[in-house]
Amino acid sequence: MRRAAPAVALAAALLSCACSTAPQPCKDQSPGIARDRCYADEIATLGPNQRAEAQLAARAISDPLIQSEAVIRWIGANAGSLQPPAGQELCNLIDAADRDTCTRRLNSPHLQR
Amino acid sequence: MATLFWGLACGDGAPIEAGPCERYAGTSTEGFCRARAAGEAARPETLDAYCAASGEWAPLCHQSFVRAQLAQGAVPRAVLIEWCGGGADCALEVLDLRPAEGWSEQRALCLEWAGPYAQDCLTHALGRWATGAPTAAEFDALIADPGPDAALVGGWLGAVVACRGLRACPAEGPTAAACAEGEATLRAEPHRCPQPIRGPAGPPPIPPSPAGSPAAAPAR
Repeated sequence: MRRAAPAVALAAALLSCACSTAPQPCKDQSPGIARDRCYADEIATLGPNQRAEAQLAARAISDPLIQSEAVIRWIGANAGSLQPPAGQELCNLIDAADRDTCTRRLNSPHLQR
Repeated sequence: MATLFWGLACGDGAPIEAGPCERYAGTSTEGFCRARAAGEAARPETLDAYCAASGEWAPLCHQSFVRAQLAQGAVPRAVLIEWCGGGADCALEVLDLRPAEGWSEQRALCLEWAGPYAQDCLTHALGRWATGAPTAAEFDALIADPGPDAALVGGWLGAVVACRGLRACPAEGPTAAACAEGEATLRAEPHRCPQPIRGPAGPPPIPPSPAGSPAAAPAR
């Protein structure tokens, strides 16, 4: 029983570490693709009434393609609930090469049904 | 080296190079990267295989390729639609930017290629006509042959009568009621007369009502 005690204690310590590990907030991660993907995943969880949060997170993404993809995906999911000028602010954040795709999703009623 | 070998060994014989998209390997961004590069990176003979590797962004991949070809101006409409790979929004964009000369032909193209967006395709075509330079002959031709959606056509005829001062609604026939209603509404609310709107993707989505008629569209 006494020989097993250190092993049990070690196992308990490891288990408690695994159970208490929480995802690191995006802002606390090192700059890079992983952090940008963190923000992109965060944006995907935001609803149409969280446009300001989506815009803030999008601005924090440094990779232009990850930023474009995140914004276009969010606009595609929420355009039907947005006023076009507000949505256009998000489209204007992204790379010019992707802006037409974003704007089309924002302004096309047929894509919002 | 392994990536290059894989690229040469797999696919349809043409190397599908990851190139600048490789840094996003294993994420959806890789597919997005490929999709937006389709205009330069893909070729007609390998387009389907190239875009299939874009995952969820495959429709955008086809659309990006087609947009690049639209800019060239030389590719026939039918080929562009084929390159849409079944994407209805892509086909709609082609039909908006490369419409047929006459209403009957455009109507047929909308019904054949625009899939779930056929009504939008027809609405866009009628909107371009109504806000362009409609002629009396064209007006009369629409009355004579409105097609299966006479109410949609009738609404736009009413818009032309009220907003452009052209002709008069027919007294009878399948377009008569919708034309009269559209005319009455727009004479009462002339600020709702449809206006041409130019967007980045060419002829606009004219804001339709659920019925597609201009009289029921929100005012701009």
